[in-house]
Amino acid sequence: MRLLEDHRGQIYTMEGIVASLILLSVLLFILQSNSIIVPQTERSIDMKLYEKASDALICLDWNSNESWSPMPSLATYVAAWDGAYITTGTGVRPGMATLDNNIATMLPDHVQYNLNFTYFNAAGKHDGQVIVHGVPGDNSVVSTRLVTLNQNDTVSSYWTTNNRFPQVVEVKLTCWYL
Amino acid sequence: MGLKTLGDDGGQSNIDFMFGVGVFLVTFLYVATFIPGIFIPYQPGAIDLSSVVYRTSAILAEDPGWFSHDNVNGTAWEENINDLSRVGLADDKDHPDVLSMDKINALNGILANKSNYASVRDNMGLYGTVEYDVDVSVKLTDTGNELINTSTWPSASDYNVESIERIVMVDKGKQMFVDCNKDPNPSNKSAYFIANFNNASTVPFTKNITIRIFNTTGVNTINPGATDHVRWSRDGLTYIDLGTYGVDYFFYKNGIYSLTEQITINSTDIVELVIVPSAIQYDGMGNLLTKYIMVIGSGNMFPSSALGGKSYNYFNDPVCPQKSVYYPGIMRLEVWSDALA
Repeated sequence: MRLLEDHRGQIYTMEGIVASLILLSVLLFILQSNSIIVPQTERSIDMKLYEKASDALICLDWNSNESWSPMPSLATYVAAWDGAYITTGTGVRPGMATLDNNIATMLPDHVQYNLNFTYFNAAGKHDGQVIVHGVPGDNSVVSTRLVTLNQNDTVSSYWTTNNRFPQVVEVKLTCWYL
Repeated sequence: MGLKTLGDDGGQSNIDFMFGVGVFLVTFLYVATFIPGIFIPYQPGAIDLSSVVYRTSAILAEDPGWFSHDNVNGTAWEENINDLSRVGLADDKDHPDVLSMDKINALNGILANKSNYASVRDNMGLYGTVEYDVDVSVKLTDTGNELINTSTWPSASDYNVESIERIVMVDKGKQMFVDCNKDPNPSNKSAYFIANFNNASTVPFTKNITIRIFNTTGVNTINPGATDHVRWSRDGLTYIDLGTYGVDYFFYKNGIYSLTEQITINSTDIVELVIVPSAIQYDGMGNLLTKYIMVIGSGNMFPSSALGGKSYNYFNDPVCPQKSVYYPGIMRLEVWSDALA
Protein backbone atom coordinates (compact mmCIF):
# COMPACT_ATOMS: atom_id res chain seq x y z
CA MET A 1 0.00 0.00 0.00
CA ARG A 2 2.00 2.94 -1.22
CA LEU A 3 -0.78 5.48 -0.53
CA LEU A 4 -0.40 5.24 3.23
CA GLU A 5 3.26 5.92 3.01
CA ASP A 6 2.97 8.87 0.65
CA HIS A 7 2.62 12.05 2.73
CA ARG A 8 2.87 14.41 -0.21
CA GLY A 9 -0.78 14.16 -1.20
CA GLN A 10 -1.98 14.99 2.30
CA ILE A 11 0.11 18.17 2.51
CA TYR A 12 -1.32 19.39 -0.78
CA THR A 13 -4.82 18.79 0.63
CA MET A 14 -4.09 20.71 3.86
CA GLU A 15 -2.60 23.56 1.87
CA GLY A 16 -5.72 23.67 -0.24
CA ILE A 17 -7.98 23.75 2.80
CA VAL A 18 -5.93 26.48 4.49
CA ALA A 19 -5.89 28.54 1.29
CA SER A 20 -9.64 28.23 0.84
CA LEU A 21 -10.18 29.15 4.51
CA ILE A 22 -8.06 32.29 4.10
CA LEU A 23 -9.88 33.17 0.91
CA LEU A 24 -13.28 32.70 2.52
CA SER A 25 -12.39 34.72 5.62
CA VAL A 26 -11.05 37.55 3.43
CA LEU A 27 -14.27 37.56 1.43
CA LEU A 28 -16.32 37.53 4.59
CA PHE A 29 -14.25 40.33 6.12
CA ILE A 30 -14.64 42.50 3.05
CA LEU A 31 -18.36 41.89 2.71
CA GLN A 32 -18.92 42.73 6.38
CA SER A 33 -16.76 45.84 6.43
CA ASN A 34 -18.08 49.30 5.67
CA SER A 35 -15.43 50.00 3.06
CA ILE A 36 -17.58 48.31 0.44
CA ILE A 37 -20.56 50.62 0.80
CA VAL A 38 -18.51 53.80 1.08
CA PRO A 39 -19.88 55.49 -2.05
CA GLN A 40 -23.53 55.00 -1.04
CA THR A 41 -23.05 55.55 2.68
CA GLU A 42 -21.25 58.77 2.02
CA ARG A 43 -24.07 60.04 -0.14
CA SER A 44 -26.55 59.22 2.58
CA ILE A 45 -24.42 60.95 5.24
CA ASP A 46 -24.03 64.01 3.01
CA MET A 47 -27.78 64.03 2.48
CA LYS A 48 -28.35 64.04 6.24
CA LEU A 49 -25.90 66.91 6.74
CA TYR A 50 -27.53 68.89 3.94
CA GLU A 51 -30.92 68.24 5.50
CA LYS A 52 -29.65 69.59 8.84
CA ALA A 53 -28.14 72.69 7.26
CA SER A 54 -31.34 73.35 5.36
CA ASP A 55 -33.52 72.69 8.44
CA ALA A 56 -31.39 75.06 10.53
CA LEU A 57 -31.91 77.98 8.14
CA ILE A 58 -35.62 77.21 7.69
CA CYS A 59 -36.12 77.10 11.47
CA LEU A 60 -34.29 80.40 11.95
CA ASP A 61 -36.27 82.11 9.20
CA TRP A 62 -39.58 82.57 11.00
CA ASN A 63 -41.91 85.51 10.50
CA SER A 64 -41.95 87.84 13.50
CA ASN A 65 -45.32 89.32 12.53
CA GLU A 66 -47.22 86.12 13.14
CA SER A 67 -45.01 84.18 15.50
CA TRP A 68 -42.62 84.39 18.41
CA SER A 69 -39.68 82.24 19.45
CA PRO A 70 -36.97 82.44 22.12
CA MET A 71 -34.56 82.14 19.17
CA PRO A 72 -34.40 85.46 17.27
CA SER A 73 -35.23 85.23 13.56
CA LEU A 74 -32.64 85.37 10.79
CA ALA A 75 -34.10 88.65 9.52
CA THR A 76 -33.31 90.45 12.80
CA TYR A 77 -29.62 89.58 12.45
CA VAL A 78 -29.48 90.56 8.80
CA ALA A 79 -31.26 93.84 9.59
CA ALA A 80 -28.89 94.65 12.47
CA TRP A 81 -25.74 93.74 10.52
CA ASP A 82 -23.07 96.47 10.28
CA GLY A 83 -22.04 95.55 6.72
CA ALA A 84 -18.55 94.31 7.64
CA TYR A 85 -17.15 90.87 6.82
CA ILE A 86 -14.55 88.71 8.49
CA THR A 87 -11.60 88.88 6.12
CA THR A 88 -8.88 86.96 7.96
CA GLY A 89 -8.92 83.94 10.24
CA THR A 90 -11.86 82.63 12.19
CA GLY A 91 -14.33 84.65 14.20
CA VAL A 92 -17.85 85.95 14.65
CA ARG A 93 -18.97 89.46 13.70
CA PRO A 94 -20.19 91.58 16.65
CA GLY A 95 -23.92 91.12 17.13
CA MET A 96 -23.88 87.62 15.61
CA ALA A 97 -22.84 85.82 18.82
CA THR A 98 -26.38 84.71 19.67
CA LEU A 99 -26.96 83.56 16.09
CA ASP A 100 -23.68 81.62 16.22
CA ASN A 101 -24.78 80.04 19.48
CA ASN A 102 -28.22 79.14 18.07
CA ILE A 103 -26.77 77.49 14.96
CA ALA A 104 -24.22 75.60 17.10
CA THR A 105 -27.04 74.30 19.31
CA MET A 106 -29.05 73.08 16.32
CA LEU A 107 -26.20 71.33 14.49
CA PRO A 108 -24.49 68.23 15.94
CA ASP A 109 -21.26 68.67 17.90
CA HIS A 110 -19.02 67.23 15.22
CA VAL A 111 -20.23 69.63 12.53
CA GLN A 112 -18.54 72.96 11.83
CA TYR A 113 -19.95 75.77 9.74
CA ASN A 114 -19.45 79.18 8.13
CA LEU A 115 -22.11 81.77 7.40
CA ASN A 116 -22.07 84.11 4.38
CA PHE A 117 -24.14 87.17 3.56
CA THR A 118 -24.42 88.07 -0.13
CA TYR A 119 -26.24 91.05 -1.65
CA PHE A 120 -26.13 93.47 -4.57
CA ASN A 121 -26.06 97.25 -4.43
CA ALA A 122 -24.96 100.06 -6.75
CA ALA A 123 -21.32 99.02 -6.29
CA GLY A 124 -22.07 95.48 -7.43
CA LYS A 125 -22.00 92.15 -5.67
CA HIS A 126 -20.89 91.85 -2.08
CA ASP A 127 -20.09 88.43 -0.74
CA GLY A 128 -18.33 87.56 2.48
CA GLN A 129 -18.36 85.63 5.71
CA VAL A 130 -19.88 86.87 8.95
CA ILE A 131 -19.29 83.69 10.98
CA VAL A 132 -16.10 81.71 10.28
CA HIS A 133 -15.13 78.51 12.08
CA GLY A 134 -12.53 77.25 9.63
CA VAL A 135 -11.87 76.14 6.08
CA PRO A 136 -14.65 73.89 4.72
CA GLY A 137 -13.62 70.29 4.10
CA ASP A 138 -13.99 68.28 0.90
CA ASN A 139 -17.51 67.04 1.56
CA SER A 140 -19.07 70.33 2.62
CA VAL A 141 -22.72 71.04 1.99
CA VAL A 142 -24.30 74.44 1.36
CA SER A 143 -27.79 75.64 2.12
CA THR A 144 -29.17 79.08 1.36
CA ARG A 145 -32.10 81.26 2.36
CA LEU A 146 -33.18 84.65 1.00
CA VAL A 147 -34.03 87.40 3.48
CA THR A 148 -35.77 90.58 2.32
CA LEU A 149 -35.37 93.88 4.16
CA ASN A 150 -38.10 96.45 3.60
CA GLN A 151 -38.05 100.19 4.08
CA ASN A 152 -40.25 100.10 7.17
CA ASP A 153 -38.22 97.41 8.95
CA THR A 154 -35.97 98.37 11.81
CA VAL A 155 -32.58 98.19 10.12
CA SER A 156 -29.04 99.24 11.01
CA SER A 157 -27.56 102.52 9.82
CA TYR A 158 -25.57 100.51 7.27
CA TRP A 159 -28.72 99.45 5.42
CA THR A 160 -30.20 102.94 5.77
CA THR A 161 -27.13 104.41 4.09
CA ASN A 162 -27.16 101.65 1.49
CA ASN A 163 -30.80 102.64 0.83
CA ARG A 164 -31.84 100.08 -1.77
CA PHE A 165 -35.14 98.75 -0.49
CA PRO A 166 -36.40 96.12 -0.80
CA GLN A 167 -32.93 94.70 -0.24
CA VAL A 168 -32.59 90.97 -0.77
CA VAL A 169 -29.77 89.28 1.15
CA GLU A 170 -28.74 85.69 0.54
CA VAL A 171 -27.76 83.88 3.71
CA LYS A 172 -25.53 80.88 2.99
CA LEU A 173 -24.69 78.22 5.55
CA THR A 174 -21.74 75.96 4.74
CA CYS A 175 -21.42 72.84 6.90
CA TRP A 176 -18.87 70.08 7.07
CA TYR A 177 -17.99 67.16 9.31
CA LEU A 178 -14.90 67.53 11.45
CA MET B 1 9.37 3.54 2.96
CA GLY B 2 11.03 6.68 1.74
CA LEU B 3 9.89 10.08 3.11
CA LYS B 4 10.49 11.95 -0.10
CA THR B 5 8.67 15.23 0.68
CA LEU B 6 11.54 17.02 2.39
CA GLY B 7 13.74 16.49 -0.56
CA ASP B 8 11.09 17.27 -3.18
CA ASP B 9 11.41 20.81 -4.61
CA GLY B 10 8.49 20.28 -6.97
CA GLY B 11 5.79 21.14 -4.30
CA GLN B 12 4.44 24.64 -3.74
CA SER B 13 6.76 26.58 -1.39
CA ASN B 14 5.46 28.85 1.40
CA ILE B 15 6.94 32.00 -0.15
CA ASP B 16 5.22 31.25 -3.43
CA PHE B 17 1.92 30.76 -1.72
CA MET B 18 2.14 33.90 0.39
CA PHE B 19 3.10 35.97 -2.62
CA GLY B 20 0.22 34.59 -4.65
CA VAL B 21 -2.35 35.28 -1.95
CA GLY B 22 -0.84 38.74 -1.41
CA VAL B 23 -1.21 39.67 -5.07
CA PHE B 24 -4.73 38.30 -5.07
CA LEU B 25 -5.73 40.27 -1.96
CA VAL B 26 -4.32 43.54 -3.27
CA THR B 27 -6.14 43.08 -6.58
CA PHE B 28 -9.33 42.06 -4.87
CA LEU B 29 -9.31 45.02 -2.45
CA TYR B 30 -8.48 47.39 -5.31
CA VAL B 31 -11.37 46.18 -7.39
CA ALA B 32 -13.74 46.13 -4.42
CA THR B 33 -12.87 49.70 -3.41
CA PHE B 34 -12.76 51.34 -6.79
CA ILE B 35 -15.78 49.82 -8.42
CA PRO B 36 -18.63 51.25 -6.38
CA GLY B 37 -21.67 49.12 -6.05
CA ILE B 38 -20.02 45.81 -6.94
CA PHE B 39 -21.30 44.20 -3.76
CA ILE B 40 -24.44 46.25 -3.31
CA PRO B 41 -26.76 43.39 -4.28
CA TYR B 42 -25.32 41.47 -1.32
CA GLN B 43 -26.05 44.27 1.18
CA PRO B 44 -28.97 43.28 3.34
CA GLY B 45 -30.76 46.64 3.31
CA ALA B 46 -28.91 49.51 4.97
CA ILE B 47 -29.04 51.51 1.76
CA ASP B 48 -32.70 50.87 1.29
CA LEU B 49 -33.43 52.04 4.86
CA SER B 50 -31.70 55.39 4.48
CA SER B 51 -34.13 56.48 1.78
CA VAL B 52 -37.07 55.16 3.79
CA VAL B 53 -36.04 57.06 6.92
CA TYR B 54 -35.58 60.26 4.92
CA ARG B 55 -38.96 59.86 3.26
CA THR B 56 -40.68 59.27 6.59
CA SER B 57 -38.97 62.27 8.18
CA ALA B 58 -40.09 64.44 5.27
CA ILE B 59 -43.68 63.24 5.65
CA LEU B 60 -43.66 63.98 9.39
CA ALA B 61 -41.78 67.29 9.36
CA GLU B 62 -43.02 68.88 6.14
CA ASP B 63 -46.54 67.57 5.68
CA PRO B 64 -49.61 68.43 7.78
CA GLY B 65 -51.19 65.02 7.19
CA TRP B 66 -54.65 64.21 5.89
CA PHE B 67 -57.97 62.83 7.03
CA SER B 68 -60.70 61.56 4.80
CA HIS B 69 -64.25 60.48 5.52
CA ASP B 70 -66.83 60.24 2.77
CA ASN B 71 -66.75 63.67 1.16
CA VAL B 72 -65.12 65.42 4.10
CA ASN B 73 -61.35 65.70 4.07
CA GLY B 74 -58.57 68.05 5.01
CA THR B 75 -55.38 68.40 6.99
CA ALA B 76 -56.93 68.75 10.46
CA TRP B 77 -56.58 65.06 11.27
CA GLU B 78 -55.89 65.89 14.92
CA GLU B 79 -59.59 66.79 15.22
CA ASN B 80 -60.73 63.74 13.21
CA ILE B 81 -58.47 60.99 14.47
CA ASN B 82 -60.87 58.22 13.47
CA ASP B 83 -60.58 59.24 9.82
CA LEU B 84 -56.79 59.57 9.80
CA SER B 85 -55.34 58.67 6.44
CA ARG B 86 -51.83 60.16 6.60
CA VAL B 87 -49.79 61.18 9.63
CA GLY B 88 -48.02 64.53 9.31
CA LEU B 89 -46.92 66.82 12.11
CA ALA B 90 -46.30 70.11 10.25
CA ASP B 91 -48.54 73.12 10.84
CA ASP B 92 -49.24 73.45 7.12
CA LYS B 93 -47.60 73.06 3.73
CA ASP B 94 -46.24 76.62 3.80
CA HIS B 95 -44.32 76.11 7.03
CA PRO B 96 -42.10 73.04 6.71
CA ASP B 97 -40.21 72.05 9.87
CA VAL B 98 -42.78 73.78 12.09
CA LEU B 99 -44.48 71.00 14.04
CA SER B 100 -47.91 71.51 15.53
CA MET B 101 -48.16 70.71 19.24
CA ASP B 102 -51.85 69.83 18.69
CA LYS B 103 -50.85 67.16 16.17
CA ILE B 104 -48.13 65.80 18.45
CA ASN B 105 -50.66 65.55 21.28
CA ALA B 106 -53.16 63.87 18.95
CA LEU B 107 -50.53 61.32 17.91
CA ASN B 108 -49.78 60.59 21.58
CA GLY B 109 -53.52 60.24 22.15
CA ILE B 110 -53.95 57.71 19.33
CA LEU B 111 -50.96 55.68 20.52
CA ALA B 112 -52.15 55.66 24.12
CA ASN B 113 -53.79 52.47 22.87
CA LYS B 114 -50.74 50.48 21.74
CA SER B 115 -52.76 48.38 19.31
CA ASN B 116 -53.09 51.49 17.12
CA TYR B 117 -49.36 51.42 16.36
CA ALA B 118 -49.75 49.28 13.22
CA SER B 119 -52.29 51.62 11.65
CA VAL B 120 -50.21 54.70 12.55
CA ARG B 121 -47.18 53.11 10.93
CA ASP B 122 -49.21 52.23 7.84
CA ASN B 123 -50.38 55.85 7.66
CA MET B 124 -46.74 56.97 7.53
CA GLY B 125 -46.33 54.93 4.34
CA LEU B 126 -44.22 52.24 5.99
CA TYR B 127 -46.21 49.23 4.90
CA GLY B 128 -45.83 48.16 1.31
CA THR B 129 -43.90 45.27 -0.15
CA VAL B 130 -41.69 45.45 2.94
CA GLU B 131 -43.02 46.03 6.43
CA TYR B 132 -40.96 48.57 8.38
CA ASP B 133 -41.01 49.59 12.01
CA VAL B 134 -40.48 53.10 13.27
CA ASP B 135 -40.05 55.12 16.42
CA VAL B 136 -40.24 58.88 16.75
CA SER B 137 -38.93 61.33 19.30
CA VAL B 138 -39.34 65.11 19.46
CA LYS B 139 -37.19 66.88 22.05
CA LEU B 140 -37.16 70.57 22.87
CA THR B 141 -33.64 71.97 22.63
CA ASP B 142 -33.79 74.37 25.57
CA THR B 143 -35.43 72.17 28.23
CA GLY B 144 -34.69 68.71 26.78
CA ASN B 145 -38.36 67.79 27.30
CA GLU B 146 -39.54 64.81 25.28
CA LEU B 147 -42.88 65.63 23.64
CA ILE B 148 -43.65 62.18 22.23
CA ASN B 149 -44.74 59.47 24.62
CA THR B 150 -41.91 57.17 23.51
CA SER B 151 -43.03 54.26 25.69
CA THR B 152 -45.90 53.61 23.28
CA TRP B 153 -43.51 53.10 20.32
CA PRO B 154 -41.54 49.90 19.77
CA SER B 155 -37.85 50.05 20.61
CA ALA B 156 -35.43 49.72 17.75
CA SER B 157 -34.01 46.33 16.90
CA ASP B 158 -30.35 45.70 17.68
CA TYR B 159 -29.13 45.55 14.11
CA ASN B 160 -29.57 47.43 10.89
CA VAL B 161 -31.36 50.51 12.21
CA GLU B 162 -31.26 53.69 10.16
CA SER B 163 -31.90 57.01 11.90
CA ILE B 164 -32.24 60.64 10.92
CA GLU B 165 -32.49 63.85 12.91
CA ARG B 166 -34.46 66.84 11.71
CA ILE B 167 -34.15 70.28 13.26
CA VAL B 168 -37.65 71.59 13.86
CA MET B 169 -39.66 74.31 15.56
CA VAL B 170 -42.53 73.21 17.77
CA ASP B 171 -45.61 75.43 17.48
CA LYS B 172 -47.16 75.52 20.95
CA GLY B 173 -50.23 77.34 19.68
CA LYS B 174 -51.47 80.89 19.46
CA GLN B 175 -51.23 83.31 22.36
CA MET B 176 -52.44 86.85 22.89
CA PHE B 177 -49.31 88.99 23.31
CA VAL B 178 -49.69 91.70 25.95
CA ASP B 179 -46.59 93.87 25.77
CA CYS B 180 -46.73 95.94 28.99
CA ASN B 181 -44.22 98.40 27.56
CA LYS B 182 -46.10 98.95 24.30
CA ASP B 183 -47.25 102.31 25.56
CA PRO B 184 -44.57 103.47 27.98
CA ASN B 185 -46.47 106.61 29.03
CA PRO B 186 -47.32 105.91 32.69
CA SER B 187 -50.42 108.12 32.66
CA ASN B 188 -51.99 105.73 30.20
CA LYS B 189 -51.44 102.65 32.29
CA SER B 190 -53.81 100.71 34.41
CA ALA B 191 -53.75 97.95 37.00
CA TYR B 192 -55.90 95.65 34.94
CA PHE B 193 -56.14 94.18 31.49
CA ILE B 194 -59.26 93.08 29.62
CA ALA B 195 -59.43 90.65 26.73
CA ASN B 196 -62.76 90.47 24.90
CA PHE B 197 -64.28 87.74 22.76
CA ASN B 198 -66.71 89.96 20.88
CA ASN B 199 -65.60 88.54 17.55
CA ALA B 200 -65.98 84.95 18.70
CA SER B 201 -68.29 82.72 16.80
CA THR B 202 -70.79 80.68 18.79
CA VAL B 203 -68.71 77.58 18.20
CA PRO B 204 -67.39 76.47 21.60
CA PHE B 205 -63.74 77.07 22.37
CA THR B 206 -61.86 73.82 21.92
CA LYS B 207 -58.37 75.05 22.72
CA ASN B 208 -56.86 76.73 25.75
CA ILE B 209 -56.95 80.51 25.76
CA THR B 210 -53.50 81.88 26.54
CA ILE B 211 -52.69 85.46 27.43
CA ARG B 212 -48.98 86.22 27.52
CA ILE B 213 -47.89 89.12 29.71
CA PHE B 214 -44.31 90.42 29.41
CA ASN B 215 -42.05 93.47 29.25
CA THR B 216 -43.34 95.12 32.44
CA THR B 217 -41.79 98.27 33.83
CA GLY B 218 -40.24 97.46 37.20
CA VAL B 219 -41.40 94.66 39.48
CA ASN B 220 -45.15 94.00 39.56
CA THR B 221 -47.54 91.41 40.86
CA ILE B 222 -50.22 89.71 38.81
CA ASN B 223 -53.20 88.57 40.82
CA PRO B 224 -52.03 90.61 43.87
CA GLY B 225 -54.84 89.50 46.18
CA ALA B 226 -54.23 85.88 45.14
CA THR B 227 -57.96 85.33 44.88
CA ASP B 228 -60.74 86.60 42.66
CA HIS B 229 -58.33 88.61 40.49
CA VAL B 230 -58.99 86.80 37.22
CA ARG B 231 -62.63 87.57 36.43
CA TRP B 232 -65.13 87.27 33.62
CA SER B 233 -68.04 89.33 32.46
CA ARG B 234 -70.88 89.08 29.93
CA ASP B 235 -71.32 92.83 29.46
CA GLY B 236 -67.99 94.42 30.41
CA LEU B 237 -69.61 96.12 33.42
CA THR B 238 -70.09 93.46 36.09
CA TYR B 239 -67.18 91.09 36.66
CA ILE B 240 -67.22 87.89 38.68
CA ASP B 241 -64.60 85.34 39.72
CA LEU B 242 -63.50 83.11 36.83
CA GLY B 243 -63.21 79.97 38.91
CA THR B 244 -60.66 77.88 40.74
CA TYR B 245 -56.94 78.25 40.21
CA GLY B 246 -55.44 74.99 38.95
CA VAL B 247 -58.78 73.87 37.50
CA ASP B 248 -60.18 76.68 35.39
CA TYR B 249 -57.02 78.68 34.84
CA PHE B 250 -53.26 78.40 35.35
CA PHE B 251 -50.22 80.62 35.38
CA TYR B 252 -46.89 79.72 33.84
CA LYS B 253 -43.92 81.90 34.73
CA ASN B 254 -41.10 81.60 32.16
CA GLY B 255 -42.65 78.33 31.01
CA ILE B 256 -42.81 76.76 34.49
CA TYR B 257 -46.17 75.99 36.08
CA SER B 258 -46.84 78.21 39.08
CA LEU B 259 -48.16 76.56 42.22
CA THR B 260 -49.55 79.84 43.47
CA GLU B 261 -51.88 82.20 41.67
CA GLN B 262 -49.98 85.24 42.87
CA ILE B 263 -47.05 85.98 40.60
CA THR B 264 -44.33 88.60 40.72
CA ILE B 265 -43.11 89.66 37.31
CA ASN B 266 -40.17 91.86 36.31
CA SER B 267 -39.13 93.20 32.93
CA THR B 268 -37.43 89.97 31.80
CA ASP B 269 -40.14 87.57 32.99
CA ILE B 270 -42.86 86.10 30.79
CA VAL B 271 -46.13 85.10 32.44
CA GLU B 272 -48.69 83.02 30.56
CA LEU B 273 -52.27 82.93 31.80
CA VAL B 274 -53.94 79.78 30.48
CA ILE B 275 -57.74 79.50 30.64
CA VAL B 276 -59.19 76.08 29.88
CA PRO B 277 -62.13 75.87 27.43
CA SER B 278 -64.48 74.50 30.11
CA ALA B 279 -64.13 77.75 32.09
CA ILE B 280 -65.86 79.64 29.28
CA GLN B 281 -69.62 79.99 29.85
CA TYR B 282 -72.39 79.46 27.29
CA ASP B 283 -76.14 79.91 27.50
CA GLY B 284 -78.62 77.12 26.76
CA MET B 285 -78.59 77.98 23.05
CA GLY B 286 -74.81 77.57 22.76
CA ASN B 287 -74.19 81.32 22.60
CA LEU B 288 -71.09 82.65 24.25
CA LEU B 289 -71.70 84.26 27.64
CA THR B 290 -68.06 84.93 28.60
CA LYS B 291 -67.42 88.05 26.58
CA TYR B 292 -64.66 89.60 28.71
CA ILE B 293 -61.76 88.32 30.79
CA MET B 294 -60.13 90.71 33.27
CA VAL B 295 -56.66 90.22 34.76
CA ILE B 296 -55.72 92.45 37.68
CA GLY B 297 -52.15 93.39 38.49
CA SER B 298 -50.50 95.72 40.95
CA GLY B 299 -49.94 99.42 40.25
CA ASN B 300 -49.81 100.62 36.65
CA MET B 301 -48.55 97.62 34.78
CA PHE B 302 -50.75 97.27 31.68
CA PRO B 303 -50.90 99.41 28.53
CA SER B 304 -53.69 101.91 28.13
CA SER B 305 -56.69 99.96 29.39
CA ALA B 306 -58.87 102.94 30.14
CA LEU B 307 -61.56 102.66 32.79
CA GLY B 308 -64.31 103.27 30.28
CA GLY B 309 -64.52 99.61 29.41
CA LYS B 310 -61.80 99.72 26.78
CA SER B 311 -60.61 96.23 26.09
CA TYR B 312 -58.42 94.36 23.64
CA ASN B 313 -59.82 91.95 21.13
CA TYR B 314 -58.52 88.49 21.88
CA PHE B 315 -58.62 87.41 18.25
CA ASN B 316 -57.05 90.16 16.20
CA ASP B 317 -55.97 93.25 18.07
CA PRO B 318 -53.30 95.49 16.52
CA VAL B 319 -51.95 96.39 19.99
CA CYS B 320 -52.10 92.88 21.48
CA PRO B 321 -51.80 90.56 18.46
CA GLN B 322 -52.10 86.80 18.49
CA LYS B 323 -48.87 85.07 17.62
CA SER B 324 -47.80 81.47 17.37
CA VAL B 325 -45.14 80.51 19.88
CA TYR B 326 -42.30 78.41 18.46
CA TYR B 327 -39.71 76.50 20.46
CA PRO B 328 -36.68 74.93 18.76
CA GLY B 329 -36.44 71.16 18.96
CA ILE B 330 -35.03 68.06 17.34
CA MET B 331 -37.11 65.30 15.79
CA ARG B 332 -35.37 61.93 15.71
CA LEU B 333 -36.60 59.01 13.68
CA GLU B 334 -35.47 55.40 13.66
CA VAL B 335 -36.57 52.94 10.98
CA TRP B 336 -35.81 49.26 10.76
CA SER B 337 -37.34 46.16 9.30
CA ASP B 338 -37.34 42.62 10.55
CA ALA B 339 -37.86 41.50 6.95
CA LEU B 340 -34.39 42.82 6.05
CA ALA B 341 -32.59 41.50 9.12
